[in-house]
Amino acid sequence: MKMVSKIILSLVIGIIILSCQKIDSFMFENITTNEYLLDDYKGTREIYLDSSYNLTKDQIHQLEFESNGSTIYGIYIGDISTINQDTVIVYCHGNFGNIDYYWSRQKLLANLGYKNRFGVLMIDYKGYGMSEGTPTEAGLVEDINAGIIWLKEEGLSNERLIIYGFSMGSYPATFLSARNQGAIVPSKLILEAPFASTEVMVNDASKLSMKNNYFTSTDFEVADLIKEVNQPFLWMHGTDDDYLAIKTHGEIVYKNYGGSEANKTALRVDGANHSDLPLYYGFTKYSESLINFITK
Amino acid sequence: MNYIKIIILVLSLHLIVFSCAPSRFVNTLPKGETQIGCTLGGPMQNIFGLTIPTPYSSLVVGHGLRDDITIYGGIHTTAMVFNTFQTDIGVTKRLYHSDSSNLWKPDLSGSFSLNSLIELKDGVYDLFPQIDLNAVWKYGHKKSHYFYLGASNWFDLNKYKAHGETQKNTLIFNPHIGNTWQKNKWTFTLEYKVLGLMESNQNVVVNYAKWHGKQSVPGIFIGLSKKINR
Repeated sequence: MKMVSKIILSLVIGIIILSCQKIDSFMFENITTNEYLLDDYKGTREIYLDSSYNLTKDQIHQLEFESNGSTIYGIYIGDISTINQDTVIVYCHGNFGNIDYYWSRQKLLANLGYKNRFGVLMIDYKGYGMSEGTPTEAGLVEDINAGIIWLKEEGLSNERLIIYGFSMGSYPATFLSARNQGAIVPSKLILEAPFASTEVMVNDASKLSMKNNYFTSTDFEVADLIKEVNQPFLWMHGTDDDYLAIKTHGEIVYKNYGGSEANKTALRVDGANHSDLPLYYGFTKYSESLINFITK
Repeated sequence: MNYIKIIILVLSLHLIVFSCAPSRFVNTLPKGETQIGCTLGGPMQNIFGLTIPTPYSSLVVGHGLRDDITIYGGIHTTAMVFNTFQTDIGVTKRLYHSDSSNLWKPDLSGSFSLNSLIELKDGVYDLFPQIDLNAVWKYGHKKSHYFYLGASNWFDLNKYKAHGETQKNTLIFNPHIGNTWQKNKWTFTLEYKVLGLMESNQNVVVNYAKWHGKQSVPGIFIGLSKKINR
């Protein structure tokens, strides 16, 4: 029995030592950088655009914001002096990489209809790109809100703020649309390939109704937050999304939307995967869908 | 790409996947015998261009109450790293004892166990019953080795999963084959399991190996145990 006692004692000690671990920080696939390269970035991108989408340098502004004690960075495309009249899209990027990785996405939005029709702001969350700090679930909201505070100071008002969340970025976009806790409540919400919640991810992977708490304290409860959203809502999702499945993530978010049926629009793109929806759907049709939603 | 982070994320997801240990004591222990052991292995995943088993680990102890009944308990050590206390506690009953002179006629055994997960910080828990059925062919000197064929069946009794969606996967069916070699006090087991035979392996965040098409995930497990009281 001595051996059994030793094993039990070892297990108890092991539990005490090991059970304080969590992997929240490992949820984020952030890449840091000392400078943004934008068009000169040679790494992989979400999508690639030809030179017709290029923008003049005077319309591209690198900005610094303060977010809960950390300096974070963003890029604004447009004329800062006309923010008090313009409609602005705040693009909340996904989990992987940083602004350089999503730069072509921001350029695409700055080319909707014609160049610089809408101002476009993209922010690197804490720990992403040049932004200081460590990414957290709550921090994503703080960071996007830091950018919205700046937009408000430049004269943006609620009815001209559109928020667009891609993948993980659907969390801050939905949170700020649902809760009156940001500097300005967006007037419209666009979600592309949204993340329903960490629990859905766990359910999908395990095939069981397991809870997410076993490996992370993050929730990313977009599917619950969306119940509080009443603003017009556009949802886009590729039918072949092999990362966040349309059925278990996107459809749940769309179904749970809290506004009226007339206020919600679904765009299910046949054959598109997680990151290639604009490419697969076609830039022209993608742009038309967004313009129709933003301007109607 | 930050590979270390991806490895840990994938590991952390896998630790809660529907089977992270091989079958326990498919052949009952003689009355009074106690074995302790460890297991390693899990679902096969694609990472860095390689297909490798997820290195879940567990410690297990079993005791023969009677020649035809063994009780056992396992604790999942990999899960502990992530603040989760995961155990499986169960009993194996030999249902049929074959004629020892007939090599081809197997013993039959059935096991019932409860798999519990407790998140130590938030106190969240889940409980999943499991029923295993196995046919066991003994061979070799003193018939000390055995080959087995069977299935582990996990039951999800919750009606709902995340966001009130109906949980349709009441039964997760995991057929397996394995072989156990015994020498002196040591026992070594190698098992191949088809995890979630009827379940889709498509469109989930984890990049499972897809050796069987669009359904199920292959799993490879090894186990090593030692008799401690005989």
